Amino acid sequence: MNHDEIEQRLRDAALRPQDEAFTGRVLAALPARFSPGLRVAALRGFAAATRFGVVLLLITVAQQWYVSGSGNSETLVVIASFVALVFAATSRLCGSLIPPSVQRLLWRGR
Amino acid sequence: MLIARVLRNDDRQAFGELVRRHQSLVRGFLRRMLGGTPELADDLAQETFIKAHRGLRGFRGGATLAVWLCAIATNELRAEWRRRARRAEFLEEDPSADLPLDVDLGSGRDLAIGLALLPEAQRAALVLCFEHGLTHEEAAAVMGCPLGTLKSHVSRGKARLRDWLAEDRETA
Repeated sequence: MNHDEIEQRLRDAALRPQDEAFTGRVLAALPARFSPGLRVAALRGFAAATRFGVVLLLITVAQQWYVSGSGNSETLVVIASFVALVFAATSRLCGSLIPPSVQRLLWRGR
Repeated sequence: MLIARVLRNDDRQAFGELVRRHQSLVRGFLRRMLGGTPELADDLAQETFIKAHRGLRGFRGGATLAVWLCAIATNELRAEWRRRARRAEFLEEDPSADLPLDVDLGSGRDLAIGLALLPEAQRAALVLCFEHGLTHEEAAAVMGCPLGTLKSHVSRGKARLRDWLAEDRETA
């Protein structure tokens, strides 16, 4: 038996399993997908929670700083400047920390 | 086109079509490599397609999808062999002992047994190049080896298979 015959026998004896049940089985095993609407809502929720967390952290740090400090007006100015700086830097880097809907409310309130 | 649909909308119908088109290659390759354990081969084929779905965004199109899928299947196969070797080491048994050579080997049982007895690299090279019609370059990409090494696997594999078949015929 020469090499060409071996090649031909391999081609003839090829295993080619094909059935619809396997396709169904693979599709059923794929991870559940988010609908586009759900995905957008999840992303918005995550962004809102992150903003809220950052703002809460800033407030907590400022309050702790004020309590542990001398409590005079100079400290208050320093803390306010620090918070304003961090707020501005974070907003510039990650987008506004105040959601647009809240911003609109604030502007309307004025 | 199908890939774009899967990527854009996570279109399951389009992915189903990809599975339909490539399952015979992936499942056939794995069945040969696992020496006739179709259930295990299909489990690994399923895992291959799930990983392909997860990593489809990383498919750059440098290779054909068939080659990319075979490369994932080869990784699954290597992981399975590592698991077998660990289990065999733990149980102190022969890792090839659980390869039932008499189950669903397709047409040409003697050829199937001869293939199953070849070293894994030679078997993979023959199955990819001749059973599934991949080029030498594509088979080398699947196996992650240089082209020269692949050609050597093909040539040695064919020679060993020819000797085994001749021996088998004489015995019969």
